[in-house]
Amino acid sequence: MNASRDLLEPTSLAEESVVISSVLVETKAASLKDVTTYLAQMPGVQVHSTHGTCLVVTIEAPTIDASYAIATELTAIDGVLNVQLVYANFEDDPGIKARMRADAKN
Amino acid sequence: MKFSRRKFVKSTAVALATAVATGAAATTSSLSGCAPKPTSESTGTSSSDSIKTYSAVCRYCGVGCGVLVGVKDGTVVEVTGDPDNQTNKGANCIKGMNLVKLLYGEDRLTKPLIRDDKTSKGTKNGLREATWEEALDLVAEKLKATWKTDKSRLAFWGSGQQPIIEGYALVKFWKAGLLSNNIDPNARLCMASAVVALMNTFQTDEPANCYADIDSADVFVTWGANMAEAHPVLYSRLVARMQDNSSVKHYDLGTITTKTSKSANKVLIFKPGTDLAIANYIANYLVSNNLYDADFVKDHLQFKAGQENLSDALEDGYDASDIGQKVNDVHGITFDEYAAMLAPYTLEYVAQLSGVEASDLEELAKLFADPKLRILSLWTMGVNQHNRGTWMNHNIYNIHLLSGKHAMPGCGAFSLTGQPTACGTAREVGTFSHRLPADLVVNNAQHRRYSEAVWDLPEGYLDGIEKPGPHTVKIFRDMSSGKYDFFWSAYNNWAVSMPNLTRFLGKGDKKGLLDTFVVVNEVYPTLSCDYADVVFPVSLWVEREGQFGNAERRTAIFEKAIDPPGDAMWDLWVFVQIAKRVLAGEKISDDDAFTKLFGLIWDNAKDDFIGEQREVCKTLWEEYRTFSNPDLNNRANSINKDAEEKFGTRADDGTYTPSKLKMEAKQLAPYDEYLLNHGLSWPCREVNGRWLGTSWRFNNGGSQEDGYDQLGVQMYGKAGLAGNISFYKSATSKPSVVFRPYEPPAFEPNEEYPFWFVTGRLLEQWHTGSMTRRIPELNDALPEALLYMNPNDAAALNLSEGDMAKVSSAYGSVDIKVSVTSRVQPPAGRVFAAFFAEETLINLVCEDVYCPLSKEPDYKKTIVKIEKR
Repeated sequence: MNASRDLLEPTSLAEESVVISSVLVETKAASLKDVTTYLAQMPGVQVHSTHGTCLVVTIEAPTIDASYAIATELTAIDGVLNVQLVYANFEDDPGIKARMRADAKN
Repeated sequence: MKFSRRKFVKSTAVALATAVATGAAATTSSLSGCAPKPTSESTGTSSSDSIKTYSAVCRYCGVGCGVLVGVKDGTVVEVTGDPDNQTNKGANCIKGMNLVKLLYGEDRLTKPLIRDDKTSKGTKNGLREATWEEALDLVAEKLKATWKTDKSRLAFWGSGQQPIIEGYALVKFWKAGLLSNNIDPNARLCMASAVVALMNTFQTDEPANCYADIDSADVFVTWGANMAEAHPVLYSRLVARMQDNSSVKHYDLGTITTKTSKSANKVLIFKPGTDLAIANYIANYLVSNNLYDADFVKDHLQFKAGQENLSDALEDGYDASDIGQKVNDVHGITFDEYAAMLAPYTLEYVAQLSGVEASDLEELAKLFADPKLRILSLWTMGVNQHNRGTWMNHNIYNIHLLSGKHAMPGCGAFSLTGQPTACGTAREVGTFSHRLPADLVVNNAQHRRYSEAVWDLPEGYLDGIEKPGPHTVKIFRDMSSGKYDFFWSAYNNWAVSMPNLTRFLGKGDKKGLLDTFVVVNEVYPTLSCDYADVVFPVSLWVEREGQFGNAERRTAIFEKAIDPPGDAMWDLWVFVQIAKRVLAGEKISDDDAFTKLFGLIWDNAKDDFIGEQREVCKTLWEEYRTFSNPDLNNRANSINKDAEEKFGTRADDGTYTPSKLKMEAKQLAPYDEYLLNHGLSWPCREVNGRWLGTSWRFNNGGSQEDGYDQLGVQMYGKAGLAGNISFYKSATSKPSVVFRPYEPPAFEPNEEYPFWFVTGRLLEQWHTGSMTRRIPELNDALPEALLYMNPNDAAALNLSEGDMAKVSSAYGSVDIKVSVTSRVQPPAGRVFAAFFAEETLINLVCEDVYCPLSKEPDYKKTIVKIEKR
């Protein structure tokens, strides 16, 4: 297992509204290094560890929409075979926040 | 989000993903932010940060992945792959990110709606808000009037998305309350061919294998299956298996190249319909070269041939025609006769017929001949939605049975489903026009007696439903011809999904639909609502407690996590309210009919359910599971064993052979066990006080604890047979290899209609888009229906990416945008478009032909012409 960054290193999005997800990125064996490098430069994306050809990755983005867009982008990277969602917290998504306020009133 | 909160959430995200990646998922339930296993008492468990977590099952596709739903202040704020659900072990596809948005679309239906002016049908106008009392009274009045006048003129159309308990209550209302078989599910459109072939072959429905077989197979064969889009989590396991072991091979067989083809070592693109011949070639190769599994054949198999030259089910009168009445006829043959029938399917003939390279066909056949290889065949709609769908299912079983490759770890013939509970509800509960719960059928006296025992009905009461009712296609054809007065649908969107929509939405026959009183249970306004006289707004997904059963026989419960919006109600409440009104004053013997059927869950004095949803579900489940636990009911138990010698056969010497139903073959566990275990695959067995599931039906190769069918084989089977298998559910314990020949599609391209048109589904849009189109991220990714064309075909018609084309068949025509991108790559002469966009309504073009045995439509072989607009 190779930790590429501090597990909890804050990103530039700290203190802002943020939807946090974790995904597993399955790569072709020959593409593992290139994919890891590519992911490292993607805004809001952080690679935490590598297990065989599987990368543990978090996505931080302002909304569910933006998170899904990034996850979709991951699937299209050359050498990526599959992206699987493990966890998503969207309590900061503006639409969900509005819903929570409305539900709280009710 | 505060920094400390963000750190906590992120650490949870990383820990959970790491646990899944390392296979330590089973321990993650103790991590912060993730729910411990719920129990029957603990609905919604609290994590340390005030988020309550509920156990659930994904609402999208047919895989049935477990998810944990986190709720804060009454709103879903978190989704986690459920590490304790063995279907997916903590991983979901990325669509799971959008599960929450299913619930919160802006146009959720929150009030009952009534249409006063029938002339507004077929438009977006004309529905007004109403109270529940007004809407329920109106629907009950119409249903009761039709029922009392001519009950052949009413129908219910259900779904493979209908939770198990809701389907069970509905079947009880329809079959025992109304004594009507005019009920069928949309599973008729996707799984019926699989069901008929399973029943014909094994005398029991549903696959013998499990999803975990993907993790140990040596060879994958996908037949007409785009798993990458339709079953993404399973496909990811397939890919992972291939990554783990470079010797693992994947052969993708289909009529078009799809995303699933990307992982394949070989892609075998065949001429539509010739898959029948390809499978027969493989069988011929095994038999003629003496490379079949002789021990398996000797111990397990019997051989049959059936009625051939079925022509095609094009006309309304097909089922009643001479040939239509013979389609299920089979007769026993010898192995040598079977071999002789296969003989014409030579390599040369099949290569020429199918268009597949002979070397590729032979390579595939040789794999089946290798006794060491574990081969897993996986298939979906390309096989089922086929003018010979039942036959093609047979032919896949034939080659797996001949090669002794079935019901074993990593090895078997595995039919996948397209909806989250097509197995659990449509098939296991039996919401079909010919079925009763647990594989029982209406036209079998012993089966009716058993159902009467469970439902505490007088003996003979269900003889009123002895004759099977109309199948889905017949219901819609007849409705378009004015033969229905009352039609109720729930959990589906027939105005988009039925084939040949032109017949009832576009041409003169539309009058029949407009004249029928149409009721729709819905969560969002769909095209079907445009034709409704009444729309009932209902709960969606975790807005109530429900149960799904997936393709690996796994039943899982989703807990109620939030309330439905506005006045939307639980479907079960709606069914009971209508049953109460329609059955008012009716008797079963001397008992009040409604109380007899629903008194176990309904308090007439309080006019409400007895207990909360958990209690209601549990009460109905305990009655339902009596169908597969006969020892819970003495009368049922006696019928199960044929103890009174009423249903078996007596030889000339007086020896009696009882007709044993073997209902325990589908044994279900107590309700709480599904909560504790996050799902269990049936048959479930109690061993030393623990309820255990079964991964491999009929397989006696290990203990029940390890997932083998040890206790089932002990109860009804025989040990020591080839492969440690005992197909005990068959009357003779011998599955049937039925010879099914190649017969061509109903139509083949000609000068006027030179293209084959295939319709199906793509990742983003599911279930006719009724939910997925409310999710901007999914809809933006696939905002409109596209006609995927071969670039050379497009160029020949002067069509480029984004051009509009008119696609026409003998049935109808639509305008649609052309795409020549690589997402779907049809070979020359074939085109593909997904069905989900009501503004395009591609099924106006789709042919109206069904498999003569299963009555499942063929959505894959319409011949069309294409013109530039």
